[in-house]
Amino acid sequence: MSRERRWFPVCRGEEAVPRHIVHTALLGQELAVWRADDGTVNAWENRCPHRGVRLSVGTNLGDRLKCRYHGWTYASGSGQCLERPAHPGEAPPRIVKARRFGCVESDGYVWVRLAGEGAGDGPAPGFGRGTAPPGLTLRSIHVWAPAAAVADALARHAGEAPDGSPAEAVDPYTVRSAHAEAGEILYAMQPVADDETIIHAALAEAPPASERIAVLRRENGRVCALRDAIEASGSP
Amino acid sequence: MAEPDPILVNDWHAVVELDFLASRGSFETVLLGVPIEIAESGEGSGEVRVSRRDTHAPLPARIRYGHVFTSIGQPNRDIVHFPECHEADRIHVTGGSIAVHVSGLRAVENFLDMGHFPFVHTDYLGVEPHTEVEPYEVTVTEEDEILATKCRFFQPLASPSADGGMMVDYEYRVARPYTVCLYKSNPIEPERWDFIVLFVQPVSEERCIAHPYLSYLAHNLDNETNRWFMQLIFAQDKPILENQLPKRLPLDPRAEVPARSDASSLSYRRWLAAQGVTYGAIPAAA
Ligand code: FES
Ligand SMILES: [Fe+2]
Repeated sequence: MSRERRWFPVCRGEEAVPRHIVHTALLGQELAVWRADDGTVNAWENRCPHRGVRLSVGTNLGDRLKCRYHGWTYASGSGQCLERPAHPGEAPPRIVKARRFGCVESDGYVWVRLAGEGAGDGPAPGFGRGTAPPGLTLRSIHVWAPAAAVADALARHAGEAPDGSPAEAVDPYTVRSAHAEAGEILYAMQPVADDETIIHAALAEAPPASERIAVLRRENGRVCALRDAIEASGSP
Repeated sequence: MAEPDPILVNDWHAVVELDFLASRGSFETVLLGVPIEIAESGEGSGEVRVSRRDTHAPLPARIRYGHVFTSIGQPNRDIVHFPECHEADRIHVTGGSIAVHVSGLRAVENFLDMGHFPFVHTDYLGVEPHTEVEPYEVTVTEEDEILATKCRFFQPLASPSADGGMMVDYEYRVARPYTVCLYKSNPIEPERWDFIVLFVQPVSEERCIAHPYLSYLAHNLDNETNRWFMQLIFAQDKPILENQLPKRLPLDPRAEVPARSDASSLSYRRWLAAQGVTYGAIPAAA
């Protein structure tokens, strides 16, 4: 299966707050991810079709994005260009559209697939746990290393934890581990570019509210230490 | 990275503002990928020397329009002549050189573009809802320059001497691939033009330094105000230009989606392709 046909997480759903535009990238493709006021999440090529300005420096107007350079606007969902202010009152040609990618919100994350629309192949977007969403999403961590190397290091690292808990590489981009302390943890890689990865992680079960901060801090420390080790060694 | 085209190699390019050079004696920069040094030749002589920093070979030097010009080849034509820059009832001032991380061709195209005024230069060169770009005329002259005429745009504060909003008339002229100028109607003497020329120094294919030179009708203007206004406007363009993808200018007409208001941009891209300019561009696939 080509990586273009696979779903990858690109940000936590709660990062796509109303009237904001998230700037990220997948497999070297820059993305502008944004939520319309009706809740729809859009993942577009981060480039205005008119003269190439990044849409992420534009404005999220709630039902459309407005480009920073000449004010062209593009509709949530269809990506259709709605206005070209240099020609007021004139409907833009139908072919003028923002380039859209497949985009689904699931398990607390926004998942994007670069190739085409529709179902495609490979695992469904999400951590593959069926209907039960994860109990707690952790902080996402950026690593200067290829995704496969990061996933591999995660699997080994989790397996070498002091409590000896097992880790499992579900596939080249997904790792599942079971910790005595934290319970089940799910890690999904976002291959930003060839040598750049973001680790998105979630706990299957939410800890008691009184422990939430301590758990977030502990798991953040664990992944950051792993990142430091990978980046220091050059090869994990 | 492509080799610079002969038409660019064998031409003059502004590389430093004279006053700036005087303040430090010498200055290092890069022209078309070649590292160069510009130095004053001796106290108060008004002469400058330009040389390559890699081979130490001397390069030709000219002082014109408040800037030092040089060439990394054999210039086969003179620096473009702009008569407005010699008129006595104008104030002539450099606008302050500004480095931009984008192809110089994108910077020229931005200079030709009225459609961005209300969005990038809000409350100065444009303001919503006055966003319309009325039809204008673009021709290629006998001298093989691009000329855009009958351009009109509503501007809230068109220049430092403006006082309130007005419809402003513009003409644009692309004299060389990296040299562009504009004429805009003066708020006090509407039948005469204020003049700005932009000499764009191609540092690399994806980096440039824009050197503006302004010849405005004098009317109570002073150099500082004029420079301040130019720098304000440029500081608004810089972040937009640096967020353009790709950084080089695509010459394939299908690479980006223009509107009628982009007539001058389309003509510029065609003209560059016809002249065989590839440096700083993404040539159309054959
Ligand atoms: S580049 Fe986006 S509107 Fe022109
Ligand atoms: Fe501008």
